[in-house]
Amino acid sequence: MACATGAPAVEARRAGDGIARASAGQETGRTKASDPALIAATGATALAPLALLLPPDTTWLQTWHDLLDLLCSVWLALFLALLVAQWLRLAVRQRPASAVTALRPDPDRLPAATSRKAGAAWAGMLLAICLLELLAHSGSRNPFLATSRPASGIERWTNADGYATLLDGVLAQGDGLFLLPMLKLFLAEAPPSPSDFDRRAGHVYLVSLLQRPLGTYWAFAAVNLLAWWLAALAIWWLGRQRWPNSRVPWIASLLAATGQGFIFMAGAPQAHAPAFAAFALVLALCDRLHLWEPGSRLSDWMRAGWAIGVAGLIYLVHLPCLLFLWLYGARRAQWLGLLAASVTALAIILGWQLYASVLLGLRFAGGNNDLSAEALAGWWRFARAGPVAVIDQLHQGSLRGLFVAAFYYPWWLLALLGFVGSSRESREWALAVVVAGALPAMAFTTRFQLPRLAYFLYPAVYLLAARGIEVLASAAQRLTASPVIPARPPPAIPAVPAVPVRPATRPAAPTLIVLTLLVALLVALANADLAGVQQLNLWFHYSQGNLW
Amino acid sequence: MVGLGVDRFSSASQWLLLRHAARVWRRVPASWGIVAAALIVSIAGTPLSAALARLFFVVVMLGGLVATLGRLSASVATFTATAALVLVSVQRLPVRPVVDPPSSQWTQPLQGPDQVVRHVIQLPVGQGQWSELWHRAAGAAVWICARGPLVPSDGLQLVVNGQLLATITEEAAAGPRPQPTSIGFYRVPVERTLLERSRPATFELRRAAGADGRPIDICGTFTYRPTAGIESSTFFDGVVWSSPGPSRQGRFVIELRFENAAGQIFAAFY
Repeated sequence: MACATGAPAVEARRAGDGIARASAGQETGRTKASDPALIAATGATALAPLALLLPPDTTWLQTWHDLLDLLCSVWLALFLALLVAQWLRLAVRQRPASAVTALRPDPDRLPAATSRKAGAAWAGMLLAICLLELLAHSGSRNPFLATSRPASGIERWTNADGYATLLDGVLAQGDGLFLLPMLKLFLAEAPPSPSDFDRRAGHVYLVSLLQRPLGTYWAFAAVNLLAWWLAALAIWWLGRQRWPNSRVPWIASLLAATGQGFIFMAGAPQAHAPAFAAFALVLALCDRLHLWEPGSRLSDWMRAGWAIGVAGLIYLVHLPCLLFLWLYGARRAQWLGLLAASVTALAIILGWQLYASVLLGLRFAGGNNDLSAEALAGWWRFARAGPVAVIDQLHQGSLRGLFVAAFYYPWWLLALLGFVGSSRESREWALAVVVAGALPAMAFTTRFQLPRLAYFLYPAVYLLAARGIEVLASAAQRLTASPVIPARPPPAIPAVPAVPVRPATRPAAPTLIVLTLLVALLVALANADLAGVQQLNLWFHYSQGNLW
Repeated sequence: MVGLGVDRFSSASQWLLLRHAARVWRRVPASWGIVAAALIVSIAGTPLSAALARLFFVVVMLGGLVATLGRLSASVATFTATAALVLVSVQRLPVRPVVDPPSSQWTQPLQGPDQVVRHVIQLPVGQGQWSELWHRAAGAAVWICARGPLVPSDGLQLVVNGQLLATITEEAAAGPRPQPTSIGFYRVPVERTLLERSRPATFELRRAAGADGRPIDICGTFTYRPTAGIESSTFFDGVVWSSPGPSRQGRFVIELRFENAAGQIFAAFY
């Protein structure tokens, strides 16, 4: 059943697995319309400095560092609030016409077909990289565990080994211990036993499928590895769809395969790595099912809802997924579809809770869901207390510190460059991913600073950073290129039309050098712990706070 | 006659029914048959609670996955369903049961002056690492985990390499603890010369003669890479020595930690 009821269905041409989107030419009609991101940025820039006048007690604002930190956090909050407000306004006012315009097919932008061999080779390469990274960061070298040791200079309550447990003799992050009762249930080794992690049973079920051949620790690690690889593949696929005919998919998937969040989590018996992957896979599935096109089928929306629901059984991934669906889809898709996906997702998540409560006696108490409610209650308390309390909270839970901890400055700078250098449609998609990933992490700051939640931004950050790298590489190429002056056509043959001569350039050495250097820099930074430098991991664990 | 007629009708209807079922079956993708097989393999003969838990995820997770992939590619769906069947079969192998990890938090009561909690640390004395540590360190301290609150009358004494270093009280409490009666760390600074006095270095907790007779819980945890071997921790109950190492892969939480000028710990030994 198609759910495009109001908008006239536009035949979208598809080539291979490509998704048709607006062409540059077709965008021109819309570029006259205001750019929500630009308006939000302008508004935030104008309003943010006012926040510095609000705090009554300036004891914590005595340095330029603190002032700038607060300014950045306020700017981020305002920017996201204004952006979301505009998206909502546009969703109500400009539907469905804008949706149709945005979804016109553009054969020029369809991804170039990659040969099956090249795709398979790249997939194999990504798997090898993920495996190497996992092995280099597993066991006692796992950054999640390593940064919990007293020797990391932060924790003073843990033993020398950190917050750890021993799974099959392998040192592992301590929370893994609390997943064992559920694992034993799936393996028919023990009766049900409630824990804080009842809501993440989907993750433990996947682990239980591999526990027999691999043992407990390596089953967790293998699920993480598989998730990591799938995430890298999803990023590659999304790159091909959203930044076609570019190097973006290759670079971005490489950044994902060496991504700090995965490095941090892959060796930990936790659900985060599969959760990160689930988000990228949902994004890819939405594109693959052509949900943003008029005429998308209701059954496809329900499939997307299924994916989100199952992701919600792994971790709280359904929050960024549903946020993305509505933030990006409200202007592009029929709300019936959005509603169907949301209801399906929530039915699966709540269905498991009901099923397991009644039939297995699980409690579904505690854990992050309770903490999320406390976090939201915290924001409500601050909002009622007035703007000064909100500003104070933005200082205590620095948003700048949170997002820089999730992705250090080089990633953000490159992503910013990539944002500027991307098409409007790609920018809007990336911004929707950013907002969907950022909001849950921001909401949590009244309770905990969790850069690992902010890491849900990675599909957008890595794709934009890849585009940024490409922009820089192209600039290097242009700077070093020496155009060849075309020879005049011989006057004796005036009838021959002049063939446009493209400026000949030197071999792409500068491009390659810049690409390699930048990618190497990011990979090296993400792997700095292997050289004994845990700083980025410490920030990823505890947030950067008000430090710079 | 009538009976014969009924039989004929019955066999004809059965034949038609079978034919119809076969036709329907042919329309069902192979992947669904494999998912059904995976479901049976997964839950048949398992305890009810495990069967119920698996049932939900086989249907919702694996079934949903195959259904979604089936929309994109029938062959991928079939491959996925086959992989799911293999995995649920492997899940039922009677090998490698989940082993409970050694406890990360247990306690040993220390009650009288005749009892001793001892932990031995093989320090890298004389090696380059030892000099580097002291070059970087502003100091070192012995960190002991015990249940609070500790008062002077408890007479909990720390003896390092045979020399009484301190009687531990709440003044030495370090790090967070939820309640005063919770377990937590006590930090006792120690000099380099005392640490170098004997190899390996011996750290003992004793009760002073005439101390309050209440038992004091000394924390234990699992041991991963003890510097002095699996039996580096021992307990003397007044009669015999025993070690939590071989029996429970455990050790007492007595650690030597190095701190920089900012008070941050940068190295720890046990």
